[in-house]
Amino acid sequence: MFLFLIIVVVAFIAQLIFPWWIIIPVVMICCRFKASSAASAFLSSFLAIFTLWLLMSLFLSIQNDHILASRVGEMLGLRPASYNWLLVALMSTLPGAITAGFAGASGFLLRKFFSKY
Amino acid sequence: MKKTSLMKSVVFIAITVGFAFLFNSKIGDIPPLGKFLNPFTGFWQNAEDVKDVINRSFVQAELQDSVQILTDEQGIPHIFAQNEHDLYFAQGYITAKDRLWQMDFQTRYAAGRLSEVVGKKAVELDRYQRRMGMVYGAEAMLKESLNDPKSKLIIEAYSAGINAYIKELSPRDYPIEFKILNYKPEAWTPLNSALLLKLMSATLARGTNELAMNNIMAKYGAEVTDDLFPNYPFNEDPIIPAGTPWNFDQNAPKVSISPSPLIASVKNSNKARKDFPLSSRLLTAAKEENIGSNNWAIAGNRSASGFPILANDPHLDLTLPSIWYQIQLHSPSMNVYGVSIPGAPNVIIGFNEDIAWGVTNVGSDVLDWYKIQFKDDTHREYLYNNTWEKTSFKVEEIKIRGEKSVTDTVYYTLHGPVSYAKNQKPDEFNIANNIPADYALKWVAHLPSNELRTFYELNKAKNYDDYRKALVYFSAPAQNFVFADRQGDISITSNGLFPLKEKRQGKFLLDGNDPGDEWVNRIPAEENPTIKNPTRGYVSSANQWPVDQSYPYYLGWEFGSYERAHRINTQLDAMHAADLKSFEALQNDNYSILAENILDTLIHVLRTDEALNATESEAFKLLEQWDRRYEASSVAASIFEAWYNTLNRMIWSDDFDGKEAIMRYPNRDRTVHLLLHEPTSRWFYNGSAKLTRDEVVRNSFKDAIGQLEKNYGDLAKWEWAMIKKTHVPHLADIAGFGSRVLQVGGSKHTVNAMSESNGPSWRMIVLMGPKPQAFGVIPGGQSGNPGSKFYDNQISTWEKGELNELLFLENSNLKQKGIISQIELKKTKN
Repeated sequence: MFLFLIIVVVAFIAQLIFPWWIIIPVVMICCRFKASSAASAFLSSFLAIFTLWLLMSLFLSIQNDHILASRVGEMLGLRPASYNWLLVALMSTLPGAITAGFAGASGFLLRKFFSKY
Repeated sequence: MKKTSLMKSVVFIAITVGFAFLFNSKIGDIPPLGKFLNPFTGFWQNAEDVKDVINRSFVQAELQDSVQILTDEQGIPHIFAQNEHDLYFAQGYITAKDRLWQMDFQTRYAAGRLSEVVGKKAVELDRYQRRMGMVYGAEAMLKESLNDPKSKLIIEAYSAGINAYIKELSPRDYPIEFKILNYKPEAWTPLNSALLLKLMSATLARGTNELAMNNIMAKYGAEVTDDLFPNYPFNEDPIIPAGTPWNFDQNAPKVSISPSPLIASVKNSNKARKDFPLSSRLLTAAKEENIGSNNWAIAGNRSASGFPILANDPHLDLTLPSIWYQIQLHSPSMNVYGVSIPGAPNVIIGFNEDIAWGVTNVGSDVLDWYKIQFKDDTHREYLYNNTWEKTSFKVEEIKIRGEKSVTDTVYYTLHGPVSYAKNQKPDEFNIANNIPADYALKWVAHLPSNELRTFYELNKAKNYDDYRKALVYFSAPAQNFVFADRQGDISITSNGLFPLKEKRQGKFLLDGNDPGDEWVNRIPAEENPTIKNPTRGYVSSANQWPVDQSYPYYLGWEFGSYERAHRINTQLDAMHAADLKSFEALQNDNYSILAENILDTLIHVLRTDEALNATESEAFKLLEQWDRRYEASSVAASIFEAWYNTLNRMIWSDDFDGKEAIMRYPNRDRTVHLLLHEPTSRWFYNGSAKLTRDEVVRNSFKDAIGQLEKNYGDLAKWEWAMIKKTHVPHLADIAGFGSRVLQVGGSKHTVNAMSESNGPSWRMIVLMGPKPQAFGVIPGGQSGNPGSKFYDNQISTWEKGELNELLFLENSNLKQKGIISQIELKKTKN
């Protein structure tokens, strides 16, 4: 849980300044120090970025009355529906969450590797 | 152990990097997903807060003074500047803020640089734009404009404003289309503004029929060609009322012209369409009979207020972001409101405290093709006046995203560029089909010009004399400038640079060797067709012929058909105590003069047919009862439209389908005459079958009903709006970014001219008076951002045929009615 929270906070701040892929080093470093297994590193990282991106998207979409999310939904091939904004927000999390998951696991594995020395 | 964990970490890092790379790259048409979907810099950042009314202020070192920009409830900016430099700087700045991607994309489109951002699918289109000399024309215009200190100030300040805005952007702020297509805005140059004005010429004055006419002449000879493609229509209602005397010497040109009918072999055009989507908006294909616009003004003695009223609705291929950008420009020297072209300074159509003006297109012949005889395959020399002249070569480098650039050499002659030399013509690129190979293009839009100055002068004009002076600077695309002022004058002028031509010069292909075939001069600007305060109490235009046959100069042989103009004039003749409502009703008028002219005859023919099936009988009954209005819910309108189109095709397709060489059909005016007055004409024959008009009329009715039934089912489902499916697509056809299908009536030949995605791009009505009162609407909105509530907020109003009252401010007080926020551009920090 602590790992999850620390990733959310650090990734949030880092992304205000850097491109989206900054989550890779953020997650790797957090997992390098705080993860207990590769699986939990993957899961915490995945969920942290999933949650962060989802909340951020929903925050922006709600104050926009979902105008843009509905249009992007149609662009992505969704059939017009009143809840498309939510589907788009969920879909939007995937690239970040997947990348973060693998980055987290990598971070943990690196620690294991380095700890042998 | 160590080895496995090393292996594992390497594998996981490789997967991580792989995903990062994958999600950061554009693959095919799919945007880079991580970049695009993340909420910190991706598209979510374009989701504007719908309640955002925050006042902002920015420091702009290039300003001479501070500028206030008030935003009204429609998102329209009202700029208050202390001098003209700052005024145009702010216009550039605020236009870029709302429309940057549109400006960037259209500039690339005009300049033949789309491949740089969309890849090789646009190469042929880019090649085409360059071969048509778009940049060549824009450069000529820019040079001329920079020679005029006033135009120079305007265009440079405007560019600086755009660049000041671009400099403020970080990637998260880029308009969404940049994120989808994954590229960055580039610095703006004055040439870009010139290119956008040239794009208007390309849209409105680049149609060409010369090759088709030549092929028809070669196949059928002069007699048939003259009969089917006459030099003046049977039905006309010219802009300058017939019989108006000309107040100048009638010294028509004395140049000998000998059009040489050369047949050019052109590959079959019926190939699958493989062009880039935007190609459909290019018009070098046949000169389009139906595109156009309406404008009119009524004198004070026929209006309810006692002051003139003016209306304008320019019809264009509609797109989102909207074609026009509404704006008010206020400085000590002017106070003007209207619509501007995003990317070009000034107001193009609008009003100020004293005058109002509007434009429609003049379809005069300002584009010709000259046969070039090259000495040999090196293309280094060509024959002119029987001597060998040197060709100049322009090497065009087309950069292609993700691939190696291609280069293309265009040969320039003294006439202009050879658009396609033999063996340069692409196989499958429909819009180039009408272009003859080894011909040079002479086009008025290539000549030096300074249109910016016209709009600047109109923006601050105070009366009729100022209006006339402003028009002199205008070359292309020629427009019917309608005018009204608060002193009570009304006027209309068919204005532009009209080459001085022999009758029918350029109806066919011309000889590039013969100096006698050249344009020698222009019609003197002051002798362009014009009229002031005519006795009938109104002026109007709808792309029809500007003049009757007494006008001493040759303008062309074919203009937009007369139906809209005739309807407008009939309605204006009957209009007394005109007001906003009567003008609004006329802009939305769906009455069909075409139906008035031919439907009785067609019905009469069909009445004798015993063999109608159930659907056909029902359709026939509907037509008998039809009020001849293309209302959105009318089924009869759909039937008539399908019937006329089928009939037209059945009459002409066997003779003019252009299977072996490109051709065109005779125009609607000629077709109507054939239907009404030549019932046994050979043109009704179909191959060896000697059909009569009545047989073709019956066959076409059955065929049309069959098609409707097949495509749309029961007759009850044939409502006109559902069949026409008017909608406003996105400029790059991005799904979800266009409009829904709109419930609108109107057809190509009604005053409310509306087809699938062509229609009134701006409707404006200005009531002159001590203070002008104006109304307007665009089919879209102010913002170019699909994530803004102002992207398409006017579209429902437009769909209903209503107009918004335009907020014409006198001062920059933030606390006045209708103002929601303010942007301040400051010279220095406080």
